Amino acid sequence: MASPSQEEFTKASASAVEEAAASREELGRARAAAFLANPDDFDPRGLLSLGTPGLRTFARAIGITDLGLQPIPESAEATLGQPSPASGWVSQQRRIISFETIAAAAGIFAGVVAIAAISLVTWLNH
Amino acid sequence: MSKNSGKGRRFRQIRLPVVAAIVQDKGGEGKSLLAQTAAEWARIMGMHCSVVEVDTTGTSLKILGDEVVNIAIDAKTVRHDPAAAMRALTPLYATIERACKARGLTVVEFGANEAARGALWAGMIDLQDEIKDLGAEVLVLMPFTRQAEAMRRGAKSAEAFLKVLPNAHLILVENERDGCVADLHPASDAIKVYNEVIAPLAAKATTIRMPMIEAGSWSPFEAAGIRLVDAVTMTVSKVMLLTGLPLPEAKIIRGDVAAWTGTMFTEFEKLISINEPDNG
Repeated sequence: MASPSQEEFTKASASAVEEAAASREELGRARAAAFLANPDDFDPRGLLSLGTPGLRTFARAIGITDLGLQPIPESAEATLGQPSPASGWVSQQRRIISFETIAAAAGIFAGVVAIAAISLVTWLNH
Repeated sequence: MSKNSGKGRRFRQIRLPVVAAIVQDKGGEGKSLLAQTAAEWARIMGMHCSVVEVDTTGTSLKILGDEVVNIAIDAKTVRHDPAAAMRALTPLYATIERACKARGLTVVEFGANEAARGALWAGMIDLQDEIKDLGAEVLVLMPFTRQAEAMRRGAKSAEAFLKVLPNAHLILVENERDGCVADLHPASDAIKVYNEVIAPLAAKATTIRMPMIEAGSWSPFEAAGIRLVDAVTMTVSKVMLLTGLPLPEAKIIRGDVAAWTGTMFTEFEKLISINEPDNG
């Protein structure tokens, strides 16, 4: 194939990019029509090749008009700014009791049980 | 790190003749595509371009046709006669000399695991002085994806060349095929390797980006042996015939290749000036 000049290449390249964007929009509209006609059978893998212009057209065609991030309501921001003890992950943590505390409690409990048992045996023997 | 095209050391456009050595010991990092793109850029700029492929298989640049000089080093022969590996590289010097005399571009792709041998050869023949005598400048292009192994091995290959070609300009080519380095998790192994290995190199190099080609857009052309520029300038009906795709999809894949090629050509234009030096 003959080599195009830089100018010819630049022109062909710009035209190819432009046509691709237009085709993506066209495909986006076609995919949206297929989705609206039968959402249960719609294969989302068909959206992979759409790129930004095609996905934008698809979203608009199925009724999604706001493509940006949803703004956070002011009340939600206020809530987020003032954490309460009842919210957040800290309150969800399980407190781990130290080994020494458990050992001391178990020792006291075992002592009380032993004393009670000895007292019971002594009382029964009388 | 991507999203930072042209970052790093401030780069002065270099003038032809230029020898561009593409080095990266890890396979699949975009060496062949980069070599092919450089050759295609030279083609539309109307400059003389010689392409050399140093690889054991010697087939990754066959898309460029018979113009490519293949230097396939046979491992079996090298085991019997280690000096044969160095002798095999003799056509590389002859090609560089010819292209430099024509004030053109020489693209040398060192295949996976061939960079160390190439650097050793360059040191043995004192390529730095030879290239200086030919009035040429050297670019060492190191493509890498955001994988830790690619960065480690690529840096090693580039350092081996810079050791024997200290006047060469290092160009880091961030291949965004798997995403940008800038988007890596701060705790990942890859970002650690980037900071330890690539960042010190980047400080004395120029970083250019090699964007991702949209999924599946290049492969039908590549499989059919179509060159980048020919894919972009091809009529849609030919693309449809070649790929069997319907009209909109045919336009999309051609457009994706055009957008990618345009970006790469712009990056090359930043590196190499094709204007003749001013007299006086």
